[in-house]
Amino acid sequence: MTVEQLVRDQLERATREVVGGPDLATSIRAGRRRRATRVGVAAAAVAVLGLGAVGARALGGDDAPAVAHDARVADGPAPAAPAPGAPVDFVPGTDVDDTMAAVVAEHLPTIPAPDDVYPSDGKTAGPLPDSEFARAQDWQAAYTTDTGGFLVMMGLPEELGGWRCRDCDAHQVSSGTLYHETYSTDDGRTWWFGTYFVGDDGHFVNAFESVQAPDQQSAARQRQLSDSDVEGLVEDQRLSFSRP
Amino acid sequence: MGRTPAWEGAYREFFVARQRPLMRTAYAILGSWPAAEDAVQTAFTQLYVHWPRIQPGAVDTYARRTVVHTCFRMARKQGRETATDRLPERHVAGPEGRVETLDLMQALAGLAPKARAVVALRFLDDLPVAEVALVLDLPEGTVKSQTARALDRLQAVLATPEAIEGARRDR
Repeated sequence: MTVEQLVRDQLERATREVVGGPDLATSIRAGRRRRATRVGVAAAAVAVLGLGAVGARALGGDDAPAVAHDARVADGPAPAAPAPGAPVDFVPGTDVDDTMAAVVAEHLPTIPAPDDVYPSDGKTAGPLPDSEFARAQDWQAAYTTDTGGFLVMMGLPEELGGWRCRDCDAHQVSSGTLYHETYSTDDGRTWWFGTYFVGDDGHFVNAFESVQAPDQQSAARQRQLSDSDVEGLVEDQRLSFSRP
Repeated sequence: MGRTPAWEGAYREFFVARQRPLMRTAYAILGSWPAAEDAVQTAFTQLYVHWPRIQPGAVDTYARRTVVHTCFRMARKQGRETATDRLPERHVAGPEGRVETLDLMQALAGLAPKARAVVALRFLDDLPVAEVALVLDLPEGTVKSQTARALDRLQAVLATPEAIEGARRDR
């Protein structure tokens, strides 16, 4: 018997009796929630920034719509899904997505590869169609972390138009203003830790870490990312783009 | 209450058909059924999130990639919490000459997670080198060399004459 045969034989026997297994209902429930949350995070970000998204913070709950932005692909050819763990060209024809993902990975090496990187604008909760990236007002990178989610959003000056966060802790940094804000969904089960940078030229980079927790203190303890790490990210001058 | 997406039926069918083989793959990489369950559960959730964007012919590869990379992430996390990269002890014949049950899983624990994945995908899932390369994002040459190295290390632990004889008797 060769070692190859031995390994095949023993692997077969060692795994023949499968113990436990995933639960379909749990997968669907969590998947639905996460699809809704991705839209909810984007919408919450827009709402926080005063851009008029309606009901955004309510989208993350169990009763959230099961069909999110990707519903459009049911009607036509689906774009390729991002491959886990691999460099992925999320939006063909531009390298804004690649640059954004690379800069985030450099600053925050502990978080996994993004679930999605996509163009958006001030009126859209979630992605614009990939083919319309040239009219993006902002780009967003969405991540799933061990404790919740993380969204980075970088935008053009025109989207905010001189916005300042009145209810945030703010301080001046060398090339703009840095804001911090913590808030929860209406049911108090999801907490958002927002770090916003608005450059002197008006461009902005916002990062939102979400944590599922019953109260703010628990949520703060469960955070995976430190304020200083996220501040370094949002202040990074490479997180900007211009219209093609 | 939200609408059920049209594609959800296909997802359910895929789950039922593929959860068991994916559990086996995850177990071969992680060496623990509860950890495998966590990894596969996480992967199926991620699969649900991305399902509408997955090309119809690529679902199986995508699912396998998701499971394997979730396992890598979990193994990295485990590695930060406990040192797991020590070599397993070599098994020896028992007092009456009977070879004790060889523990392949313990032998696999001496390999790096990526090498364990190569072994699992090649010899449990029976994938060709090109498919393993696709799942792991490695060149085919690297898959071949990692396979050879992994087998060498496993052979050092498992393939003693006593072990081979024991495996034959277990059949």
